[in-house]
Amino acid sequence: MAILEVKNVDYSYQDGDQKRYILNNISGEFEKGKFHAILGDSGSGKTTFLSLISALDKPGAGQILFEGKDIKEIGAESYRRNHIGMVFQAYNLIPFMTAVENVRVAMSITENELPADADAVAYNLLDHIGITRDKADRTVNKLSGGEQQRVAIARALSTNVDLILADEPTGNLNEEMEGEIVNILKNLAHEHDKCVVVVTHSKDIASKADVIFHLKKGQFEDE
Amino acid sequence: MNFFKRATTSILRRPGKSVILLLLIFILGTVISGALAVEGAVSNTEENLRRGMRPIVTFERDWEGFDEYIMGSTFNWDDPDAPQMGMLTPDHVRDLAALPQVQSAEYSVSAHVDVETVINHSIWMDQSPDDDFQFWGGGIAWLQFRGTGDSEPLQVREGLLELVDGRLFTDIELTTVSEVNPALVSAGFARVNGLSVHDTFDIPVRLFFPQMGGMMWDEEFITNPDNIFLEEVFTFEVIGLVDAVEEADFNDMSEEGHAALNRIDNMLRPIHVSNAVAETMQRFHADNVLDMHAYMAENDMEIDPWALEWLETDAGQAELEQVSIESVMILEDPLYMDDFIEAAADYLPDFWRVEPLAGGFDAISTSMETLQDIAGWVLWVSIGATLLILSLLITLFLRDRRHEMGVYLALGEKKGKIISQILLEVVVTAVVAITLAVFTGNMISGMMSQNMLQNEIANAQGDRDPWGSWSQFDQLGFNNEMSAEDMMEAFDISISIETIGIFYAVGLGAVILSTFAPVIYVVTLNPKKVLM
Ligand SMILES: Nc1ncnc2c1ncn2[C@@H]1O[C@H](COP(=O)(O)OP(=O)(O)OP(=O)(O)O)[C@@H](O)[C@H]1O
Ligand SMILES: [Mg+2]
Repeated sequence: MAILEVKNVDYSYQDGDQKRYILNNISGEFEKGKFHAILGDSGSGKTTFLSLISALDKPGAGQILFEGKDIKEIGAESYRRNHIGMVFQAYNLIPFMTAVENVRVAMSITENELPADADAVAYNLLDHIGITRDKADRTVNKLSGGEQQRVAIARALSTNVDLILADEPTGNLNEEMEGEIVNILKNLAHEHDKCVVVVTHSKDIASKADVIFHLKKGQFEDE
Repeated sequence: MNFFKRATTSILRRPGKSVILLLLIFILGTVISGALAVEGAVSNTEENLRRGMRPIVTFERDWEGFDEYIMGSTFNWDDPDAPQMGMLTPDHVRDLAALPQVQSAEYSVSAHVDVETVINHSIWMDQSPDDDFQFWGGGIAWLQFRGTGDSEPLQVREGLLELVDGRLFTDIELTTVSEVNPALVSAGFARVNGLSVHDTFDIPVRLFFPQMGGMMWDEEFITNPDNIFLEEVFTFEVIGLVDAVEEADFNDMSEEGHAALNRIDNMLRPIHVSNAVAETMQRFHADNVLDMHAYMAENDMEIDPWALEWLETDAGQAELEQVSIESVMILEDPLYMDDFIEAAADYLPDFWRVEPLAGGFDAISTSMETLQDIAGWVLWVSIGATLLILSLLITLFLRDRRHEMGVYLALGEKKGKIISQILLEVVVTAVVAITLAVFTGNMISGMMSQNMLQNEIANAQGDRDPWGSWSQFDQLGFNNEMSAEDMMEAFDISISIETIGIFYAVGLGAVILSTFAPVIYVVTLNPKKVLM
């Protein structure tokens, strides 16, 4: 069964007296254990779609179901807190905190059941993802872009959620780094049974996905 | 990393911003605490000054208020019911004495007579006793008889006069009028008149026919039977001699020295008799004036129409019926003064006011109020400035941190906790800044208020009237000027725990209010716009 289901979602904005649809009656299903790519040109509405499934914005019409329940019912804050992990193109780490502190912020916010020794969990998670202990204790603005994105992924994972949503996670990274990050995300799906949704305009990345959604004219097209 | 840990981390890891916030709150806090400290110092000092004062009051005619009323538009000369300058009577004193602030009250009836039978004494005669002292007044003595309702006259009880020979009044003497009446006189008066204890002297009290035009009020006039309608001789026995406790120093040429001599001279002038005797002497005119007019009418003597008309008025009637008195009251506590003055207004006759024994204090009390007003203004302005500047600064700092706030929101943090974090960061910084400001503010304002109050006190000294005022207290010999040393002693810039408490409350209150605008900023922040 799909963990996330998008049903007939519209998203529009008012341009003068015309209503312009960015997303128009869009539907899709996302499953655990799979690496999904949402591929589209710049301006096609990828970020908009991600903002809806991460409850950072609300659809004009349609339903978004998490484990069969409308996320409106779960509540946007609670949904973000307990059910998803997000990775952004610009990393969005808290600059004056260390890597491990950034991870711990998310862990202190979630209401999910977490192991008692939160610090050890955070260090382990970072280590697993390639951030060694000495780097974990550095303030994040002293880490490279690739390292920062790893910290962001660790933060997304730390709350023990099944759904990882990423918007152009490699957009600011070089090719080598891009490959590594994509592998990590793919691993999360395949080894750890997460549902990973990555928004990208890169066909390279999309080619590594288990499922590809082409976003065109506000809808997913089969190709 | 809960919101509490996030707050402390934020303060410590962003030292530049924390220091800017700290300095700003510190500077504004110094101004606020300074203003509060000045207010505190002024009210401490004022309270000390009041506490140091004997809480004595008397009641005086409010000529200023009366003039103002007469000059005012509502006054009409032809209105017979228009309020007139009232008269203090034993009834008034009884009502006033019943006020809760009053500890003890007494009144005194006075009578004044012009006589040729005795010689006035003045301390100026003692300056060079061998010289022949020429008294003004054409050889007659203008004598004041001051009544007492207490066997120990007020000035003796208050330590201004001391009994140097003889005795004080007995209770029976206070209420009876007899052939020979007891009197306390000053030692100087006794000496110049050749009197000692047990001796008697006569005082003729006379009712003169009204005189038209100018005439010499001299010995010849007052003894001429043609001028006298009625005469009664009061005989007094010297039961005791009093003298001033304060020593006259004729070598002290300073203003204070001069004022002291005047004071001593004033307090030694009256002859102390019982209220009963003084009342009989005072009433001599009122009791016989109608008879005199009848006699004058019978004998076709010219009668001043104004004099008759006056007797028909309320005030004239009161003069015929009532006895005019002076009263001195002692309050339970110096701090009750303001309450008493307010309460007494309802019981005083028209155009009378309370005169506290506080001349010197009055002069600086107004400037202290001004000082307090200024401190009050500084306080409100600085609180306003704090709100404005802090709101702006905190908002600016938060705009700088909008990604961080966006992250918290994206991670699903509750808005209440984000607000708590901001509040905590600001409050922790503010507590440090305010604690520092307590010290600097108090130091600066301590020096400032010391300078200002000292100036005020110095000025108040300069403003003294070298001749003293004509208040009853001066006449009674009370020193109602406070010395500069006394005032400086009352000066107190120590800060009470309450003031410090108020400062923390005001400071933190202002800081917390200042986070209002920033909090709105956070609540309306859209994480999608910031992060994606
Ligand atoms: N509130 C809005 N008002 C007007 N236009 C909007 C609004 N939100 C999005 N758009 C437009 O909708 C389109 C989709 O934007 P979106 O950010 O989802 O594209 P994207 O696929 O993520 O593009 P990119 O690959 O460049 O990141 C864009 O043309 C954008 O300008
Ligand atoms: Mg985008």
